[in-house]
Amino acid sequence: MENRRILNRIIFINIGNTDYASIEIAGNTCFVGTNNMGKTTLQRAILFFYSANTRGLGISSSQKSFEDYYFQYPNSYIVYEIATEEGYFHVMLYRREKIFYRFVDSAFDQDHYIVDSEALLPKALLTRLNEHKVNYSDQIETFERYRNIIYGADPDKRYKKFALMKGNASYHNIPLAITSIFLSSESVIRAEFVKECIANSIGTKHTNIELKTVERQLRQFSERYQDIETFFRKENSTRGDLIKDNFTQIKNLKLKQRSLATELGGALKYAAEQQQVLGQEVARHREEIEWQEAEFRKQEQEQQEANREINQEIGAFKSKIREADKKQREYDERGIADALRQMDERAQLALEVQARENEYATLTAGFSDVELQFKTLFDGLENERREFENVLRAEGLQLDRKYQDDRNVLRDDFRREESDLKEQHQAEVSRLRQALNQKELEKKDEAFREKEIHGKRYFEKESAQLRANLEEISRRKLERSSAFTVKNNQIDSLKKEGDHIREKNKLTSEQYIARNNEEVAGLEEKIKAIEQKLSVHQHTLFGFLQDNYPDWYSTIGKVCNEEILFNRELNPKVIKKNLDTLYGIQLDLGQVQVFSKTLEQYALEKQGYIDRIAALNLAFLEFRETQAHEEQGKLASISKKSAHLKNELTQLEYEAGQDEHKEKQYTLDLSEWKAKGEALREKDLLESYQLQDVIKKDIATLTESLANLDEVFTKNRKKLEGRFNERLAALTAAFEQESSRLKDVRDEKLSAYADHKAALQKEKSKVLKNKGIDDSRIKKLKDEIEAARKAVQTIDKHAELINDYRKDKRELFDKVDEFKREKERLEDRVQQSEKDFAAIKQAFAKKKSQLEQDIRSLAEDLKRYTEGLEHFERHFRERALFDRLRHIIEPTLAIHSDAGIVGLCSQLLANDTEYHNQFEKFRNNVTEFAGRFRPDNHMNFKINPQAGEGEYERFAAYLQEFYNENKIQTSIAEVAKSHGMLIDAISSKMKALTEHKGRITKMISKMEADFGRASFESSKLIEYIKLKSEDSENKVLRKLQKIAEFREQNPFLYGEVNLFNQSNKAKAEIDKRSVELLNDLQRTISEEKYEEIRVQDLFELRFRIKEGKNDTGWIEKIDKVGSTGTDMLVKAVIYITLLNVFIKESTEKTARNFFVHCIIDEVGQISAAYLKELINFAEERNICLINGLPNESKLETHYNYTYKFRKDQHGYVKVIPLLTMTIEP
Amino acid sequence: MNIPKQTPEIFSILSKGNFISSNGSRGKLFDVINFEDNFQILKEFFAHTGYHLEKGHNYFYFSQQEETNTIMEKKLEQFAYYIDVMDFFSSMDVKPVVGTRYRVTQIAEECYANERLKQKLFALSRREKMVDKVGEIANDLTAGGFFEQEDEDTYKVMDAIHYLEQVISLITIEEEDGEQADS
Repeated sequence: MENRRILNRIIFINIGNTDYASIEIAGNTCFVGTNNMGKTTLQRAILFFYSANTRGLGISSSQKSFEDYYFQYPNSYIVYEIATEEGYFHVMLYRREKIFYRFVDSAFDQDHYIVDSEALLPKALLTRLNEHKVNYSDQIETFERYRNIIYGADPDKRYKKFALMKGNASYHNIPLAITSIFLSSESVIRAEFVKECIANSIGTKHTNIELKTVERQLRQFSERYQDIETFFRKENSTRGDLIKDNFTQIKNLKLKQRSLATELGGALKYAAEQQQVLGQEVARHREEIEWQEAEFRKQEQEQQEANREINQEIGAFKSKIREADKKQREYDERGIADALRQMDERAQLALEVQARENEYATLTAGFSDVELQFKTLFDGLENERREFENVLRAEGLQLDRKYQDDRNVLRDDFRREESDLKEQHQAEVSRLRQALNQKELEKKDEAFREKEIHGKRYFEKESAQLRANLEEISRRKLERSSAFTVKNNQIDSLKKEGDHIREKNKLTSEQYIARNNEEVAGLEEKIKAIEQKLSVHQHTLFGFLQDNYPDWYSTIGKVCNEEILFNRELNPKVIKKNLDTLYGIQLDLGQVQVFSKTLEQYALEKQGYIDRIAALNLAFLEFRETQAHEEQGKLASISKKSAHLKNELTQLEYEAGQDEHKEKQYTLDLSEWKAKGEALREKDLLESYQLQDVIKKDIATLTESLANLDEVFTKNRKKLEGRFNERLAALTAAFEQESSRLKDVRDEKLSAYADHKAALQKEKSKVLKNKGIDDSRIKKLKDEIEAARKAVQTIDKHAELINDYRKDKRELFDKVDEFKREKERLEDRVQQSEKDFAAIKQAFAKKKSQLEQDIRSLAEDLKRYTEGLEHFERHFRERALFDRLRHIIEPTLAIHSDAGIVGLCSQLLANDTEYHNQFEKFRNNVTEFAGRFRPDNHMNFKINPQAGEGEYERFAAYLQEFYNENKIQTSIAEVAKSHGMLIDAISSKMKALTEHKGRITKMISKMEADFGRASFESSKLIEYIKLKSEDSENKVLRKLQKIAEFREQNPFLYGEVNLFNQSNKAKAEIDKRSVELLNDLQRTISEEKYEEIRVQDLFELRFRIKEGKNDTGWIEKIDKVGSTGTDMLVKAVIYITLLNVFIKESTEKTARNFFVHCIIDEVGQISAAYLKELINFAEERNICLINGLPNESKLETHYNYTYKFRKDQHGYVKVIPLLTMTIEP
Repeated sequence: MNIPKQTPEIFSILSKGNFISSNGSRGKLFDVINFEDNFQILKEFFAHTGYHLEKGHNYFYFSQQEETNTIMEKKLEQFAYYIDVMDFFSSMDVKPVVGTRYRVTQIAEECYANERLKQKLFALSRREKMVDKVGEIANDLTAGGFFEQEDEDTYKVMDAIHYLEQVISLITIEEEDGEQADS
């Protein structure tokens, strides 16, 4: 029975080249064997007991793995038998896919495992153990669990009995140290290794600072910070503005393009419609012209026809007048006047002939009765006189009647002429008056027209349209103005709301900081108090009890308060051990709570406070982030609304600009129309004035003509009267002359009759006297008859002429005046007709001109529309632009456009060109903007150039949204949080890490003290082994420390929500410094390539060894100290010292009744004396050495157990104990 | 004269004929030179070394007033090459605007699809693989400071590309009959 716990035996069943071996190792053990005999296999198996780590056994990668080499069969077992104060238990290792453990609560019994020289399979083995009622544990499936059990750290009480020792949380150092010694016994001892061991013994792995994580976080922070910095660069903000402007312009151009496309679509349809309508209209107008022309030609023909007839009549009259003149001249030439006069005398001559013939007959017929004869003569004469008188009377009557007739004719002629004249005058006057009236009417019309022109609104439709547009613009302006005000007010109120939120958050934040500060200060106070206690605890009752009274917690701990426990003035001393009294009084403290705390509890409490501070800091950062997020969320919503409103304002401004432009255009158009209207008015007025002038002139002319006409009429009338009077006077004179002639003829005849009567009387008297006949008288009478007959014959010869004359006179000469008047009348009619026709012609010309003008205007319109459509077909339809806008152009309804199709096409093309120019600028700006950011920047400013125009617009929209919602603030808040968290995390980790510094120093001093005891005083081989710690040279650690210091100096000044706030210079400097520190750290981590910062990085270790006359000085690694043997010895001493220290540090102080093995192979170089001293050195520290020797020598005599390795005839390795357990003194 | 602490770094870059562009990884150096009076200070400072610090649109570089004919000839040859390279990039769907990111594989793909581009590329590089050819010319531009490699496959166009554009725009081709035409 051992009074200690130790690995007593190791048993190999079917392990490697060994079928069965049982090796007792409960003391210093030496394995002797040539190479490849299995020494190392065994040593590794022993090491595996401690380390339970298949990788830390020094098996190279070219060799078979531990599992494959050791456990080649299903019934391969390694059994570790452990001796305890109570007996033995053993651990069996077997493999089923992986290695499993079972703890068996009994000493190893070969019979349980091997039946009939054959090892049982695990299942059968368990059955057998059951059969033998041997207790065994559940299958332990993990190495960790196994280690926890062996090192007494497993919480399951059932396994407590299977512990080799009572280890604490840092028991891992023990297997680590044992492994390290085994693995590096031949190589250099590096300070790193020692540091690592120290670190492992005091620290826990969670205090390590994972640099990969830190570097990743730093890189993320740094990249995000850089992104934000890039965002705030001047060029970028300018570029951002440019993009915004470009985008607005592009959007406006697109809008304009849409509007133009719509207008074009409408204009095209309208043009197509108008083309038809105008074509019809032109045709109608042409028809109208043709009809008018036909009508005019018809009228012209009629007029010409009428005129021709009149002219024929006039010609007839003219020829009659000419004929009358001609005949008059002929008659005059033929002496018509004499002939007429002679004709007038013919009757008288005929009477004369009759009378003379009668006289002659009388004279020649009888001479008988002279009385009778003379009576007859007298009667004859009387009759002749009577006849003559009758003739004369008849002639006088005829003359009178003729006179009367002539006078009447003359009067009638006069009256008729006068009447004609009057009529003609009246007609002329009437015509003139009519013309005058017409002109007056025209004048009135023109005056009215002038008034109308004055009052007329020219281009009313166009102007009305423009005015309506202007009114619409003005209405919109008004609406916009109110919208402007409303929206600005809304923006202002949103701004105020935002300010309010910020102010409120600032206040909340300040309150939170104050609260946090207060709590942190309280916690720091508590930490300080604990630290104070712990710093002095070794010199107080607490420290004394810790060292000298292991179970004081359950006794003194229940009756002592902290004040007494940490009082330095008490000078405690142990008088008598194991006395359960308080100043002699026994107390039953079973129900009393332990009042005092252990060191761990203090450490835990402190850690709790530190954690609480960290939690508070984290909570603070989270609060800030949450607050920033909330604030940002609210502000983003406000900014979004505000941006929306601003966008609307921009739209309104754009619309205002457009409207202003339109207003100017419309005003200009209106002015133009007005000017055109005024020009037209002026032209119309001028025309009207000219027309009025013409009318006035015409009126004046007509009035003058009327006056002239009256004058002419009066004159003609007078002339007519004069001629009448003259003719009447001539007629009267002729009548009187004829009367006088007749009277003269009568008187002459009467006197001749009287003379003749007297002569007859005389002759009668004479005849009566002579009764004879006088023949001279008969002869004379006969001559007279003959002469009278000749005269009558001559007259009769002219009778035809006279008849002709009389006929002509009656038909022609007497009607010449009538003819002339008629001719003049007809000529006047012709003139009037021509005048009338001229008016018709003028009206026709006017109408035709108007129609032609209309046609021209319509044709112009038609031409414009046709040209527009043709232009569209030739220059627009084939373009890609049309295809792009087709969906807008084609469905639009017909509407008139002032700009026209050509103008719209040009505008669209110009717009498209402008759009492309702008878009190229826009694209370049976006590319340049996005190019300034990292490709995977967290603000997502990325662009895929292959994606086309939409991608750029998406980018711009996103950028606008980013600006509008002020998303950068969210980024800043996040970066600020990660900044704060990074600094906090680094600081707290550094704090946790540096917490260990005291323990490190303590351990180093312990080691140094232990080294001091390893001076091999008997041999004086090693004069001293010294160890010292220095400040770390780790650059990363230094940067980390700087950050921690910075955190200490600026507990609440860093990590503000806005890291980029330049308004507070001091704050900005602090932020800048903190960011620089983080960047420095990141750079250093990248450069130094460390994976983590561990406790061992906190300090540097230096060895100094003096062996004989060799002094290594302060060195970092122990490479070679003296000869190989000495070197090995020194290293073994150092390792054993380390192991000892670690065991002390890693186990409960109260349970130091166990031994561990320290495996050092190939110790053949060490001299026997030194080996002995080494064994003793180890033994003093409860450490058993397990060494390997290649050959048997005297060295093995210093060990408790010596085994030789041999192979049997089957090739199995056999381990044979060489010596008895007697050790040379 | 307080010269910035980054002066040696700036000199080391610029004296190798490189550019410092605002949009590259040396953006901070650009900011340093661009900060307040630093440009003037550095210009005077570098003048003593025979280099003239010049400022382009968002980039800086060194110029030398007197250079041997051999160097000038070499530079001209280099420029002739750059012109062809620029011609190549300008013939692509995505033009070499400042900030443009090109992926070698993407350019190679475009070259496969575009015979004209492919021929231009073949005239520029004798490498076997298309990707290597593109990589070679991209690296040449990177060496000249006109591109910057962001990762294995990605190159970014620097502000210094303006320098190339400017120089190319200054070139005039003298025709045989003595007339001049801008190239």
